Amino acid sequence: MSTPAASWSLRRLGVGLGAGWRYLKAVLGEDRYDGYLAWHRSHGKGAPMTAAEYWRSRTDHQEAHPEGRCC
Amino acid sequence: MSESGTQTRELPSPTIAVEAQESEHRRWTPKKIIVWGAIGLLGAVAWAMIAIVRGESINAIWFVFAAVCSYLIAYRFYSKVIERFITKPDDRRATPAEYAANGQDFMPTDRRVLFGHHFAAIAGAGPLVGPVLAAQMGWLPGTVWIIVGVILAGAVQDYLVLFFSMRRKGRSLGQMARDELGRVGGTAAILATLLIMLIIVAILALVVVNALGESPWGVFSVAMTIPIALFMGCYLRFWRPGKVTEVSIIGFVLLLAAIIGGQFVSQSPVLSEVFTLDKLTIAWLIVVYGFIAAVLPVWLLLAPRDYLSTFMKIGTIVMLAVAIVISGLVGKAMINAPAISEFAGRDDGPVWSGPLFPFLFVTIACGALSGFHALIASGTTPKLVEKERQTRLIGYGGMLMESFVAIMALVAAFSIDRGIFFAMNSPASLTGGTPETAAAFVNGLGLTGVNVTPEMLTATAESVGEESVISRTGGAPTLALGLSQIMQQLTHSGLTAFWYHFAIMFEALFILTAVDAGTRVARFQLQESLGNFLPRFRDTSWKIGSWVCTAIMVLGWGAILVLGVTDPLGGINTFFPLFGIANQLLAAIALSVCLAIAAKGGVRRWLWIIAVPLTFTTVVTVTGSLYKIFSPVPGVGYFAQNAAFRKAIADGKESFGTAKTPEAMAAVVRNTAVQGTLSVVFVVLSVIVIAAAVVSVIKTLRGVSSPSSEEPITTSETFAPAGFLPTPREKDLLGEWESRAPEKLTAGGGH
Repeated sequence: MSTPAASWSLRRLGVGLGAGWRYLKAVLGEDRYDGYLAWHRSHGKGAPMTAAEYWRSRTDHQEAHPEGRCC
Repeated sequence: MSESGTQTRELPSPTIAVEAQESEHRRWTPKKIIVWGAIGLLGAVAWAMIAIVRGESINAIWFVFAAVCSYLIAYRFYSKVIERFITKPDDRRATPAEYAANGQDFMPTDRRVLFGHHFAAIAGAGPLVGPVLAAQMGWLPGTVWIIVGVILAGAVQDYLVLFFSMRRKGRSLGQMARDELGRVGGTAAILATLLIMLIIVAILALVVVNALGESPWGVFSVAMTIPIALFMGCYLRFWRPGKVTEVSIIGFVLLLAAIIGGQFVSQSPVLSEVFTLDKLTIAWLIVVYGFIAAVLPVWLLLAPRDYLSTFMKIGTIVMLAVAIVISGLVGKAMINAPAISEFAGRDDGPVWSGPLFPFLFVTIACGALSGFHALIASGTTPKLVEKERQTRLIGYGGMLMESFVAIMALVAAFSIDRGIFFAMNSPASLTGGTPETAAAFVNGLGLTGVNVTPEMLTATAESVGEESVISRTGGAPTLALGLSQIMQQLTHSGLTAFWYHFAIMFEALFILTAVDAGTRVARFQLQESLGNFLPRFRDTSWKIGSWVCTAIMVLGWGAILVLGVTDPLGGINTFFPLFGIANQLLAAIALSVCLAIAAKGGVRRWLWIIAVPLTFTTVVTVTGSLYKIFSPVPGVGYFAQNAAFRKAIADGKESFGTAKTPEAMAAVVRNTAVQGTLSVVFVVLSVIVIAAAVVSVIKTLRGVSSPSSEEPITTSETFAPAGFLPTPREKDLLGEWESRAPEKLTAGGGH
């Protein structure tokens, strides 16, 4: 910990783990609400949906637009 | 789009100039030459080790090197040729995610994230199971087909379907077929897609049934995934909306608890009794489950289960890759089996019957070429692509990843003893079901180096906490055993049973997710088709209509599943070829649609890139179907088998071959009739679609075809790099966008 090299590599490890964590979240789709907000800023009208409303609308949307999952 | 009209400020370019792309791609710096030289050299050495040098045993690491180096070279060079001469992406054009953005299914997504997302949607239990069953023929034919097949066929199909669907606002394969091939070809394609989806769902479910039959531990831990998913659904709905990673981790921990709990269940005399179910009961439970899952609200079961499945998929595949590479590097993953097995030259293998050509190429479908991917690559993913040039990474690259999963499954299958492999994968009608009879049967096959004892079989079953491992067909238990042996070497030998059930659980999870989703997709397709005659059915929110259509679909695959489970000939060994043929026929349909579209798009000389895999898969599947329909060998031909059993019944025999009772004989007659009829229907429908595509191409070449149905061009107002890492020029342009119009860029993904 004390040497600069060790603290540098620990920091790198932290950065790597952080990026991996963010990647996992993104692949699972957790940042879709942010994507919606970005869309709403440029295209939407009125107040944006709250997070809870958005996630409800998302499953309602999935109800009518099923996505396949492969073998 | 109203704001962009009033905007006067000039945006940076939405693309790198074509000449700059070319010069960047073609400039060979010394560093580039060294890197690609090393990749080529390592790949060549690995292939030499596999194909030529191989001694008594071979280190699994060579399979990893051969595969990965081949993929890198194919991606860098071959997919680039496809991009240059067939797809010709243009980043000045907006993608549907940009011009039709709606904050829901049309949403620009970071390319690296979409790569993971697409991979999780296409990969599942398929690439894990096929290579295991193909192990009957030895490891060389399977390895060559998985790697060469993905490069020239599977990844080409996925890339082209993704690209063409993206150019058509994410239209489905069926819709594209109707648009490009006309009424007859289009209708045949839609009907074939629907039937093929049913058979694929049925046979995937059969794999689960075979893995869970008479296994209280497995039944308990897989059953627990349902309450876990329901809990996750409520958690996301009522307590913490949108916290999908958090809930996935909670779900994962609960899954581990369920696996550990399964051990107690299997050891408790009372509970193990409750959870020991025969295969037929499990099949009926899955049918009932399939119906309920398809009519329950999405948020309650389907969505949370999908999160859990995606989380597990990425986690377990990374874990498997790390485990195989580490145990290969330390010399612990050694394969002691012949490269080409004794069965390669015969057509009477106990795991599945039929000669190597064509049946190896249908047994390994997912991982080399999977038509089912065309349903994902059209529809879901194209609505999320940010820039046209990224389709090469997502479509071609995503399929290369799946192929790598298949290679890992192959390695896992060969890490177990060959005698145990045949004892596990031969039907009970051959092994007799007891350690003594199974050992006698396997030793009697006359395979070199195989000498299995009843004690070995009993000890193997004990080590994984099962009553027996004999005739656990379907591939999943074999893969689980291989995986548990690799993992226990790296962790602790006491964990063998845990790893075995961990593997069974994730395979079942992937399959049940595919069953849920497949039933729903099929139901919507049926409603759409019925809507042409009875308009009321088009309304997908109409409860009765959706229940009726769901019931029809569930009964469709449920019937095939029950036939498979009760099949006196063993189920998997006669049904799995049907799965492979169905999947490859779907690939032939997808490639025909791509061929017609590419021809309309002006491609001429380079049409062979599509025509070659199309011809190959057509020859394979049609030959396979003809064998299944016309072969006089009862073990291979459905109708030959049917005739033999009907004759036996007419002769008044009480038992015949592996069917020991008159009822079993009647079951064989019924099953072979169904299988044979399905084979005929599939091949006829597919030949109609392929013929329609060829007619369309000829019309195009003579200049009399209708134009392709591409969406009109919209100018793109955003930019993102095409590959995983941005090139220097892409970095510069990205910097320009970040300083002048950062709000136009897709957030997230991290830089």
